[in-house]
Amino acid sequence: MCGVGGIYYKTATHSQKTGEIAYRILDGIYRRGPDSTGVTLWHDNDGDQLYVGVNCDNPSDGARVLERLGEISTVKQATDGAGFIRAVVDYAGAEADLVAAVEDLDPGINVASVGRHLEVLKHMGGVANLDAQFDLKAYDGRLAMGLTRYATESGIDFTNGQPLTSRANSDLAIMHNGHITNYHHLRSSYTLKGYEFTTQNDSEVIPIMLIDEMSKGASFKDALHISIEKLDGCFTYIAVTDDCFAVVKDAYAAKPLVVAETEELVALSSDPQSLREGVLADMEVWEPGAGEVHIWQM
Amino acid sequence: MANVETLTLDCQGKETREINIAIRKAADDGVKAVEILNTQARHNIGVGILKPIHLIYRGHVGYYTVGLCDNVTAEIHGSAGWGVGDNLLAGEVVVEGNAASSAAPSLRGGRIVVKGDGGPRAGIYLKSGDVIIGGNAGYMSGFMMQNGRMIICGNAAKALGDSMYQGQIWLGGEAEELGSGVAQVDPEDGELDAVLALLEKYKMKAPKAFKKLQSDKSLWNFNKHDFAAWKDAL
Repeated sequence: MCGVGGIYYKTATHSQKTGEIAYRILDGIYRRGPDSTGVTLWHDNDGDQLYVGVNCDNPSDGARVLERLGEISTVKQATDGAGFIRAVVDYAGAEADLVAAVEDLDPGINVASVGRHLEVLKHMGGVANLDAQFDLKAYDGRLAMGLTRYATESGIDFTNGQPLTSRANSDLAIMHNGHITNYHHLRSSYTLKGYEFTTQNDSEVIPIMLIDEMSKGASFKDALHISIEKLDGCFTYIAVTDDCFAVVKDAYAAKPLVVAETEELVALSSDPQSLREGVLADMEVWEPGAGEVHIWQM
Repeated sequence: MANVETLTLDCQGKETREINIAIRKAADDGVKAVEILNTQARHNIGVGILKPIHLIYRGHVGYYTVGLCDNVTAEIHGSAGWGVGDNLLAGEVVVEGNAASSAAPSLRGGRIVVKGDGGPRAGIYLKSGDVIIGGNAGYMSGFMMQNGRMIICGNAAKALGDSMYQGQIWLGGEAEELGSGVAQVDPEDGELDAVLALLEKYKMKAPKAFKKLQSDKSLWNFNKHDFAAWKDAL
């Protein structure tokens, strides 16, 4: 089933903490996806710092990962979340080298994302666990979008949890509710083209498809429309980049998502009740229709 | 409680089951109406009510409101989530706002009125009764309807009435695309007047004209020579 949702503030100053709203929205859709919870946070980063997230099959591997990060970069902040490592690092080299250095440690260690503006956080179970490890409620930036996962296509672990980014561009995260039924075929063709898949999750094909289409000259918006044509199955997904976010619904509108927008904010959720509990207001909501793409420029 | 005309029920702090039991008990006790407060878009409020009662929802409601009910009338002062009036046998639901996906699914009788817009698949498997949408209707509205009447004052998205068996769809605006096996036909005497009278009853603005749509029966029997039509049907 899965639930997707989150909050975007149109201005830097706002009336409620972004992380607290995201917490309540994700808590409200916990029952749609009790396996794991993840969130994408947007940061106004004007320096060289990178937001690194690392999946560890073995929860006690965190110290090794942090040690390695310390050897190759300047670690400004880090949290060992017992299975998922969050770090903010200063790093001047190539991102691929950083990824390789961390993944050389152990086959059970893999990098979830390396973003300049986007930070991905994940944890097992509900948002309460995520918050306990990474203090989601303290985040007060402009965008926090997440997913509560009900796993159907791949294992219940950190690696296969969402949000998902791609090695080709970590500043594009997707949160997908649904199934991509032709993903084996798509995955083979993108692998042949040289794209690297790091999970067994069907949803991973979405960011790679978007990146591939954009590399061929499509705008972000065009790429989103092309994804509706090329992906089989049912899906509602949220895509976040460094300067915008979007909502995409399949041609059958099979997965729910409601939107509320005011002068101050845009709130999204699979469930209207979670949205209203999240923003603490009885807002008017609308539901994007079949085959629709909606983009908000940040 | 038999003499109480209207019972007020505050959903705040109550379990869904507790609320539904309270409504059911009110109906058993012969209470005329229940005013439901603090609905906060909660799901499954007012389901499985099988005795006559009038429900007044003060606020937005979630999924399956007035689902699996018989002889229940309701007014929803807000918008409704998925599947409002699911499988209603008889009665009436008036939604003042919009309705999300699959409004009035498998309606078997009575009437569902949405004064705003309807989401995708409004009136799916409509079996009898009326579905009225004051605004626009979403994708695949009237899919596989088997009987009954659907009135859409605004425009309709793609696949309107796809694979419908019988029944009528009255469309005030334009359809982005008609579904498979749907054709426009001339109304019979008095039919349009009945539609307009119904809109008048709910104080809804009628469009300038209505098109009457119904099944062209092309999908009633399988014909291998006409396979293309079957490939297009959803």
